[in-house]
Amino acid sequence: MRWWRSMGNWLPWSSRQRREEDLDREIRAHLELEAEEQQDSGLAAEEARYAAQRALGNATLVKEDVREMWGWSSLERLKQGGLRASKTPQVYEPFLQKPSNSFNVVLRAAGNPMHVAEAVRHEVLAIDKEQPVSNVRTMEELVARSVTQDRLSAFLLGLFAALALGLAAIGIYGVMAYLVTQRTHEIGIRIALGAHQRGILQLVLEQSLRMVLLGLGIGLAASLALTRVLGNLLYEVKPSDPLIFIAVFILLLDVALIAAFIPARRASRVDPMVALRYE
Amino acid sequence: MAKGSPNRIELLQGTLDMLILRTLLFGPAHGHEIAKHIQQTTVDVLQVEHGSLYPALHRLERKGWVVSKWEMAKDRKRELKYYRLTPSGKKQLALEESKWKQLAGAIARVMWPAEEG
Repeated sequence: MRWWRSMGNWLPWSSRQRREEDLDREIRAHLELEAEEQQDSGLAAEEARYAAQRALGNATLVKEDVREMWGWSSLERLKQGGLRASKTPQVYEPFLQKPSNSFNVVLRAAGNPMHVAEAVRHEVLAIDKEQPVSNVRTMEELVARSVTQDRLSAFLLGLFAALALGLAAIGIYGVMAYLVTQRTHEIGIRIALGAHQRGILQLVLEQSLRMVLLGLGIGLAASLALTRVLGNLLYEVKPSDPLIFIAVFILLLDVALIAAFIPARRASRVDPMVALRYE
Repeated sequence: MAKGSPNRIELLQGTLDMLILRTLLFGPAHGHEIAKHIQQTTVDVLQVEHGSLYPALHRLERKGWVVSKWEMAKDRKRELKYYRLTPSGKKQLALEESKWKQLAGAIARVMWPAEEG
């Protein structure tokens, strides 16, 4: 019984709602039929309705029993300890059975709730002059406070991620530029032997691209393996979100191409005499 | 639970399911019909609180022994939820019936030993 009770609570809300309405309708139809029958046997409409209800028993309990059959309870599930907390079933205890000398009151207000605060304080003091009303806050504030920590760590994580991306871009640019500059001598020889500017560009870009793709491949595999660790920090984003992976891939590829293109163009324009003497 | 007349007997646990399945053997019926049928055929001896019928019906449906469907009532006045016996429901009925016979026989042998041949 237990396991499918918890399954029932996983049912999508709409499906539960549908069954709930269905059950309501079924019980209502039963009561109507019974009342009509009672009326036919001579009872007044009002009395017939009561008789039908008596024959059925406590409708609320009947419905709760049926819900139990279907595997869900109608106990409310709430997050008590902030947004991060998991939803737990709630039971309400009467104050007289479990008194406490301080408690919170939640009020729903139309418009700005803080405007109501003064009126509420006034009402409370009217009942008991010595009753302090303190710590009035809006629900938004409470919710925001419950995620402050997560917000901060998300911000820091974002900051470091941006830094890492910047470093990666700068690093790729540096390496590519260095590799191409190193080949200035060779490029000079090629131009001296009659190579065209376009040919040189193509050569350099092709060779760099091969290396960049290799690097990106390794990087992608590593990040696919490692972002899992971040999994529980992410909200509504999967660790392997394809959009993010593609975007980062294209960004770094562009950086690498630009980093290869600029020195390659410079190299292809170089005077072969200078290039040959380079080093 | 209403007090009811003193000569009414409360149902043994588990027998309601069997009675419902047996009633549905006559053909599809809605909850109210089933309640009335059980009440009338037992000449009001069995006290079936109408409400206890619905958890039982939904349990039977959950187990796949009956299926339900909203259909227009015979008097065409409203739609009612009709329950229908499934093949596995029929099997279950046969099973429960034989268990019930065994139980009744065993009790009878204890209660009226002389009548046993």
